[in-house]
Amino acid sequence: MPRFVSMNLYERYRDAVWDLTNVRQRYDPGRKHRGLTDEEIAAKLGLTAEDAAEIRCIAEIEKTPLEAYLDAEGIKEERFKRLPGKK
Amino acid sequence: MNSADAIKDKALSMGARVVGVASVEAINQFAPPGYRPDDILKGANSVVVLGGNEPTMGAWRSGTNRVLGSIGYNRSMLGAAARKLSYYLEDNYGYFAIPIPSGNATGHYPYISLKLCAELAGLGTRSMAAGILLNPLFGLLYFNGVITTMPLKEDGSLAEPVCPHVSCVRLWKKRETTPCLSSCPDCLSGEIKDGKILWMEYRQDCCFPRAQTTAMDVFQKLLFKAVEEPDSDKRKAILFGSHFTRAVRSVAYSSELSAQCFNCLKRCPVILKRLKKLK
Repeated sequence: MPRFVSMNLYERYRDAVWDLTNVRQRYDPGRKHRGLTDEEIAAKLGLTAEDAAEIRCIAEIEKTPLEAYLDAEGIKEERFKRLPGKK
Repeated sequence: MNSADAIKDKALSMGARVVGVASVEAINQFAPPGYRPDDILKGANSVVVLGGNEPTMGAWRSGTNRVLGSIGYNRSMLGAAARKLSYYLEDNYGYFAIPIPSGNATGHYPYISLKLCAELAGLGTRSMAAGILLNPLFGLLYFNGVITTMPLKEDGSLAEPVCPHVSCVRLWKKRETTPCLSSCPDCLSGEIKDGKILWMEYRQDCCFPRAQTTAMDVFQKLLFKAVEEPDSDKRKAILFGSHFTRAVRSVAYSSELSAQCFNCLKRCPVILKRLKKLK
């Protein structure tokens, strides 16, 4: 069962964990790219896999500002009408 | 008819639009430990991948993003087909079978990459649009599947990439953009060279609030904001307001939980070519 991670540990490792996840996904045909698993992140940063998973889960929610959700509908509707090729 | 073809026919009759087989050996060359089919089912040999559940062409023609986002995707159809196919494999062939869990294992990480399985089952190739798999016939598809110990003839990856479409290559030459890149320059970037994808990058954190505008994460964020808010009237405005209400309904009815944007694929020529056939 997962335990609650301390906010001290979370804040210390949040950005490092985040950078290693698959939050930015790159595709180069013929090359292997992927974000790391919690086990791999833990091994790289000297954490337990459970702590790495907890830090990732909290960061996934915290890192995206609430405003991005509240503003999303307007952005989507506006872009929905835009012609292809227009900036 | 060999076993793989008979199983594909059965899956099509259960609601899949396309079906392919990937070998566990091929998947394990890319999937990291912990995210492999044989982590879910010991001794797994094959993954039967079901594709479908895509928006109807009428949904693509919807005048608003909100309507397309509400009806463009339904989680239940392929999941039900995968479960039925699992029973069918066990009852008729005597091999272990398990539907691929369609939720996330922890946080935003899935149990297994359905995209990878589908790609290696020959159901599509990665696109400039967030690496979403495009099927040559249907364009955007969603995927589910069955992991089984049954050895089946694998389909393997498609020989030719579906993306970029020839019209996107032309547009790239003129303006160095494509319909998908120009639709969402925040989430997507990439380059085409010699008519092929040179590279593509996708920012999941930017896409998330648009594709899952009223799903679980915003439910948690709004709840946290309300709990932290000392003013009762402001708490009421958060919790009874339209966004939280929609999030609660989304969670309660398992609707509007994902695929709420569609902008990157709205003008994808691979999809538009199907649209033109209808009246």
